[in-house]
Amino acid sequence: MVPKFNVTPELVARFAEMFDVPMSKEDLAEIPTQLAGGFSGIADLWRVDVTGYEPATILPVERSAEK
Amino acid sequence: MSESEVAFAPLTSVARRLKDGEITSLSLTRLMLDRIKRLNSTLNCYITVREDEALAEAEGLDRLLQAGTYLGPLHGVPIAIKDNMATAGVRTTGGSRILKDWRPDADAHVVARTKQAGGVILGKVTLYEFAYGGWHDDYGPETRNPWDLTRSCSASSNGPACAVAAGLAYASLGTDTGGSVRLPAAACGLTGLKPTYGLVSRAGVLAAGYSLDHVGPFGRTVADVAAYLQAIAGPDLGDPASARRPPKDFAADLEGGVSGLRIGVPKAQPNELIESEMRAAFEAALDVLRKEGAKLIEVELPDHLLSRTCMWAISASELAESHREWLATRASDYSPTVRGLIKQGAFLPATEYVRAQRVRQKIIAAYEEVMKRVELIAMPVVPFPAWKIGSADVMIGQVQENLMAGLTRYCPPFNITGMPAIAVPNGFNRDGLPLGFQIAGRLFDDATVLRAARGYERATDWRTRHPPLQ
Repeated sequence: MVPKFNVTPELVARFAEMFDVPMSKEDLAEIPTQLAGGFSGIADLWRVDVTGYEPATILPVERSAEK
Repeated sequence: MSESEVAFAPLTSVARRLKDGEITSLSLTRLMLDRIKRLNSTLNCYITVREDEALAEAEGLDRLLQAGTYLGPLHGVPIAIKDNMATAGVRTTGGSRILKDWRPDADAHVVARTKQAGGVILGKVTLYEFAYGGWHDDYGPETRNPWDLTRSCSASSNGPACAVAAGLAYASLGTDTGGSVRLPAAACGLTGLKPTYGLVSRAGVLAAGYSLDHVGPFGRTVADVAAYLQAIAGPDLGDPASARRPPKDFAADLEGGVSGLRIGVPKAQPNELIESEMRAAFEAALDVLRKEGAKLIEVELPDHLLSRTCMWAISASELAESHREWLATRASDYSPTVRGLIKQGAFLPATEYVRAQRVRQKIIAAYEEVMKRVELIAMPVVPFPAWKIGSADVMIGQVQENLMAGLTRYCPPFNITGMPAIAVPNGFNRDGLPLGFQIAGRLFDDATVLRAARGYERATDWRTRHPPLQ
């Protein structure tokens, strides 16, 4: 399922209030457009079948000593 | 030698002459400081210059050498440090207003290692604010590219690249979260290495996206970069991601050439946009590698744009988490661009971050499969050369592309996977702007990446050209 992100200035303002993200009037004018662009890419992540892939660690490289 | 020849000599060359007593650290440091005084007002790459301290340290290092004590591969060599790396007692701004007066008590691990190897730290150099996406106007006009003063040095380690390209330091350290060592290296005609994730400690370096951040050296030659890597690589308990394995001798096989090495060349991807001159220079570099004996093998890699999206989702989330307090208390002190980017991260639900990490694992697995068939991968660094300062978009042929989107087309896969990748100069375009390509390798096989880059460098002379600065 590829989510449909609905980014509007009103919803951005409500999210910001809910999660205590400070937003100026200027931010509210710009960020919804920027977010809409970012989220269009994020939607692509949901087109990938990630069955079997779980991050054991968020760091990309194991740290154990070389054998 | 003329002043220019000395100023643009490779690090390894001046280090050898220093060791042999042919020149002194004091004379080199004076030369660099004189050039900084003359050129920094034009280029704006140094935020802080340690004039008195650097001269005193150079004198001390000369005395040590005269007494028979040699500290290491950087002994007496003047170096520049990106201003997101803590330097004890020296202002470390992160290119921000928020930290404009911060004087850390201790050195970042890589700064301490630079000093232990004998480096003379000339000063702190410019960067995008917190090494993320935009310039803060408190630091004057954006750093100029020495090859064309109307153009950028690229992002975000613009100061480290500018300083070395302009002959205002012999090497420098930068950070790379989505390409910020390799992009400026390519834009300025330098060699820049993003080492394997975990090989070089990031303790004391301001985080941009900590699961993607790397520290790496800039130099004029591959040997310079290898020498600096040797000085800073290795385990460090101060960095949770530091690998517990001793570094190899990165110079040992540097002259081994590319003969017999299998180099993967990615199949063209859908919607791949790259300027024709960049593509031609990349193809020409592949021809050189082939002629030098490398075996080029076409490989299919995950969509670069998927890596870019993962990089954005992960770095924006990690950045927003680490900046949450300042976002609440100092929001107006950020540049509008970086404030916007951090806020975008604050709007990403944990669900999307976890999804990005799962897709990342799949990308890592795909690269691991490819790397079973080849030792290396060759790719462009960027689809276009240094851009005009102030541009938001670039033209690639007849197509207009967002600057940041284009910038992050080829570099993020190696931040996502942690694989080592080096940018090497591979020509100039019709406007005289430097071009570069990258060679990536297997995890912790930075030595083979350096060897291949040196094999290419040895067969070409791009590194010998310098910007037309007076």
